[in-house]
Amino acid sequence: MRTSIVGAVIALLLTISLISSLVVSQGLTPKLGGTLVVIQVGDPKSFNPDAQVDDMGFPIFQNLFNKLVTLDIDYNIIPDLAYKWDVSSDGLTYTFYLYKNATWHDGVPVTAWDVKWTFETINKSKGIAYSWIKASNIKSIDVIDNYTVKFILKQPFAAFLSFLGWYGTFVMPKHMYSNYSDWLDPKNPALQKPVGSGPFKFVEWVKGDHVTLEANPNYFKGQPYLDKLVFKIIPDANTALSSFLAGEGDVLAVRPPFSEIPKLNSTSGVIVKSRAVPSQWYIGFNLLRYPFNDRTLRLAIAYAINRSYVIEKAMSGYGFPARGGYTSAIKWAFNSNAALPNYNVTLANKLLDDAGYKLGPDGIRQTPNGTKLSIKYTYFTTGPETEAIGVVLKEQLKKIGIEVTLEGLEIGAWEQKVVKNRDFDIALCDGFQGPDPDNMRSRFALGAYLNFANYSNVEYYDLLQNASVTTDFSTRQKLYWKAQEIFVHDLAYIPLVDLVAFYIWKTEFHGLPWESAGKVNYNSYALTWWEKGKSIEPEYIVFLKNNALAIVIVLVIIIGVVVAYKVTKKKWSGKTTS
Amino acid sequence: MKSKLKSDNNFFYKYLLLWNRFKNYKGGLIGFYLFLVVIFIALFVPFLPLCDPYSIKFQSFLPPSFSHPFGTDEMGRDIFSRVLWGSRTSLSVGFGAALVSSIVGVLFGSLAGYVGGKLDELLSRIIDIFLMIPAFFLILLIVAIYGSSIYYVMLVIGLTTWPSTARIVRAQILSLKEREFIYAQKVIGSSTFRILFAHLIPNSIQPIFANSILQVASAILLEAGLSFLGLGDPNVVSWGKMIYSGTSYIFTSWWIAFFPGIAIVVTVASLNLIGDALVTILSPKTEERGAYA
Amino acid sequence: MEWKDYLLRRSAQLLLTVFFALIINFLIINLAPGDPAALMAGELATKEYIEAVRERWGLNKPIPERLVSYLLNVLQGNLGYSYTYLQSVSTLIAERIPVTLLLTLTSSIIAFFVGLLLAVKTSQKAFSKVDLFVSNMMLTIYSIPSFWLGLMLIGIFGVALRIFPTSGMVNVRSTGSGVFLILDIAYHSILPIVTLATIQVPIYYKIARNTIVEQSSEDYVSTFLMAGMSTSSIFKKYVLRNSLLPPVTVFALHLGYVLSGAALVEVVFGWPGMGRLLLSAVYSRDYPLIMGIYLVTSITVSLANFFVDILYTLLDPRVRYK
Repeated sequence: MRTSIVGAVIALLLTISLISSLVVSQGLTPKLGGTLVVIQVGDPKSFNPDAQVDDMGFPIFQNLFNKLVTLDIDYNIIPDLAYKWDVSSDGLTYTFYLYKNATWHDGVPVTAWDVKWTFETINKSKGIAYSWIKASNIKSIDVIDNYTVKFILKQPFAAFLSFLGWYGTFVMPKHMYSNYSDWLDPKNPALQKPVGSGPFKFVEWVKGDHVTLEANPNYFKGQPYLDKLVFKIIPDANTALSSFLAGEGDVLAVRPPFSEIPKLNSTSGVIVKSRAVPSQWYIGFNLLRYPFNDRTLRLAIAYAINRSYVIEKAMSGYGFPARGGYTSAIKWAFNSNAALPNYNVTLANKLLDDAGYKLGPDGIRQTPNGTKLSIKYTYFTTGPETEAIGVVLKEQLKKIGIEVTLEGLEIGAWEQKVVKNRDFDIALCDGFQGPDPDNMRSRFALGAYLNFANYSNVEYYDLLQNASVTTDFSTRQKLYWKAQEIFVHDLAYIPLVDLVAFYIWKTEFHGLPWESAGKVNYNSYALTWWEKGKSIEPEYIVFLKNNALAIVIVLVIIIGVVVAYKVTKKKWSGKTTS
Repeated sequence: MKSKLKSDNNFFYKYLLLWNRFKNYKGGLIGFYLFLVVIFIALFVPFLPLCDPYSIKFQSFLPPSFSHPFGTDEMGRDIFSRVLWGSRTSLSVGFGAALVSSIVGVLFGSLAGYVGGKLDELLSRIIDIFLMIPAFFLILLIVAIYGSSIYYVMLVIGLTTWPSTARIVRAQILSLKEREFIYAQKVIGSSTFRILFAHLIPNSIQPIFANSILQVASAILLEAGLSFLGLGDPNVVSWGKMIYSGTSYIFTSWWIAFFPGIAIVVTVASLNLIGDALVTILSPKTEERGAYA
Repeated sequence: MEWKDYLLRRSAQLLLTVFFALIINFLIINLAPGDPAALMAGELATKEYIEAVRERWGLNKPIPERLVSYLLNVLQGNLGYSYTYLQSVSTLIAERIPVTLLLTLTSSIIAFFVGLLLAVKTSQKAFSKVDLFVSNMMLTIYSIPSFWLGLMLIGIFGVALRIFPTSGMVNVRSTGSGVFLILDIAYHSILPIVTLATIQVPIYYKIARNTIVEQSSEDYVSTFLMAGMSTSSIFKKYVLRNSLLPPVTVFALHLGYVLSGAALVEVVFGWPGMGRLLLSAVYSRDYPLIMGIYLVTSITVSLANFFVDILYTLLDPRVRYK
């Protein structure tokens, strides 16, 4: 009798622990299977990942291809095709050791020869990374053996690895391209049906609608959990939002209108996370034009702009007021002591009064030369906030007697007018300022194509040039800090907003790129898995889990029957023996 | 052809007659009164006690209420005030474009019709070519890459829609130039220029008038469509642009896109009602195809 | 013989029209401010790199030379390669044509019959209260911007009631095949088709009603009435038949716009058709693609006009060989 009760209690405890462990493990163990639908704005251009700037193709390439090294969500350099690398002490030689089991999707192994071909072609055919990896600075690329490759630079380049891990540096299959003299030859099928090495393989591309990838079971870092990865293309932010809410997508990579974010946040089954990204909105002055070459005027304008108010009105409060001469998202390089002027209208007005910008009868100031201080704000029409920022600037500069008119241009026309012809007063621009502050060299320094303000402070330029070839970390950091002090003093550009990126996805998906810091690149869904997917464990465990309740019930019934049988048997035997 | 046009005298009498006939068309009359309201608003909106339509001082996304009858938009601007101010932009684009279109159309059409012969052949071909180019795509391209100032939009819409006017004018002139009173002018030795501008064009103006009103309506719709694609002038308040920015917020703040849309429908419908009534009154029952081509 | 001459002359005109439309488009596009090479090169590009891109696409050659080589290519049926998609322009356009036709053709046919039906119903009692009401209603509907109507429909049926999908052409999560794919596409196309059809109904209604009213006042009607025929049989046998030509003409002329007419609605509904292709081509300065689309749309418009003219000449002896 007693033994049977003990047996029953043990059986019960076992069942409870089994059930609870099942419940817990249900939420933690990655499962195989499922389709993830990412909603994004547009089509890729082609599937040559290194030839053209292609912001729509990039997130897809990040899942189809690999780089030598890559960047995780925090812009840290992590291994990709190379499991390790050495840098010589003079900063001139980089040796990469490649995974030996990496293969292209058609089965051909990925070797050092592919790496050599890729970077030589980037140099020869002027791939997009040509400028920022300083391709012309690469003296030679030597194949040591099939899985070891050595880059020898002419001059040290501190940001080399960062830029190798960023954009336009995907290792490409030599065997698919070597038959064509031009890597953008439209006849090459690889441009439409890519052969990569990444966790997902290409399935189809229905232009304007979607790109479908499927899991690569032979991926050298292990098969991804998902069966399918679909990039659905919806250019319109509202349509994208409503299809996401209607369950037609799992990750919303089209930024919804700011006003919808609180609502999304409170939607059950949806997670919204935001984080600062190294991108800024900034305005630049035409320094070739009077009166914008007057620093006092620029300083007064900087004082007159309430950056928090710009964010509140033009971006519904999502973003951080820019604080200094570089994005604060790259923490090691950002100098918080090089601060931008803080909002102060009185001071701005006083500066202008003292400098001889007299208030005219219509409330608008005149320059010391007697011309009306009526300026044009030239922006490109890629989204609603470019105009909205102008609306706020117009209102704020009115308070210091400056009249602003808005000029919105299609981005190509903007480029022509502002960057090429320098035909503007003030212009708005944005852009990615990472992954390394060396970015500033191609953006704001003397001679850079995008330096539309014509900012030509030689000291600033020298600091950035020096920093670029300096390998010692703290020396480099000091150079950048100094450069930022000069930048915020000169005010050829006024940074306005540090941008915030939004990550919006369904709670039933786990292991997304922004949750996998240190493991995968910031767009890779290799570790993403679906709660409702098939389990990754051996089949019998899957069977046990799927039928846990039934098994428990059967077990309980069996135990019950046994106990009951024993009890009745005892009674029986007791009766017969007594 | 039982046209009632006799001569070019009594210009005002003719319009009085027109009005008397117009009065019988209830739809046209409703349209006319609606249009008077719109015009009134457009003319006197600066004197009305309204908030500054550009001011962003209010809280964003306020729903319609007593102080903001149509609510506020994403930047905290009063939509009621913006809708009223928007009438100025829409009407000026509409009338500006129709004016450009009429001037070019009348010039080409009357020259082709009056001079005839080889010139007519050439001009007709040009008209045909312009009719065949999909106007919206063309306007879109030009505005997208050349700039979106409101005057530009006016000009471009006007310069792409003139061929239909030209066709009507040409037909009118062709039928008028054989009349006795024109013949009389020729006999007394009036110059071609005088005959054309003092007699032929004034007498063919009525059908053009109806056509132009319809063109105002379609120009307003075109401008709205362009603005909806983000190609509007940022320095003016425009209904199409308001819908464009409201599109982003349609699911939480429907009023931002809703009210400007209603304003467009009311304005365009009033013009279409007037235009339709006029076309019915003035229709010589022939050559209808030109209007639809 | 006369007939053959006419056809020949008309075809020559057709070609000439398309040719001039092509040149106008080429000039507008290529004289525009802005440099496609700089756009393709991206923001951190060096001048050297931009020059390389320019050379790759032949953008460094003078405009007349580009025009001549473009025309020569078009004559050989080669519309060039898209800068952005790196695919032949004709393939890209060919992919989009059926997608857009699904919306435009279906909606035009629906609008034609709905318009005609309404016209038949109301014109029986022309100038009655109902007739006038419907006429004015139609004018009001005609005044609704298509994109706004689409937006409102999405708001009501897609988001609030959740009856219809809000965008796209297929459900990407479970792309079916065969019958299921067709059903899926049909389901996604309902709202855009309704939007397009609604704004077109007034066009057909108006032309049909006016013609029927006109025809009903013709002399032959009163003659037949006096001869003792019933109103309905006169209507069926003569009036309706005689009134069909103008609406059919308008329908045929509208066929010219089957490729370009739905652009705004495609944008609203995220429909991957020609309009969207053009918009993205314009924004990325994909010159060969823009020109290809213009060429194809100009040809459709011209062809529609051409066939209407031929049709008229065949049916109406009065306008023969003008």
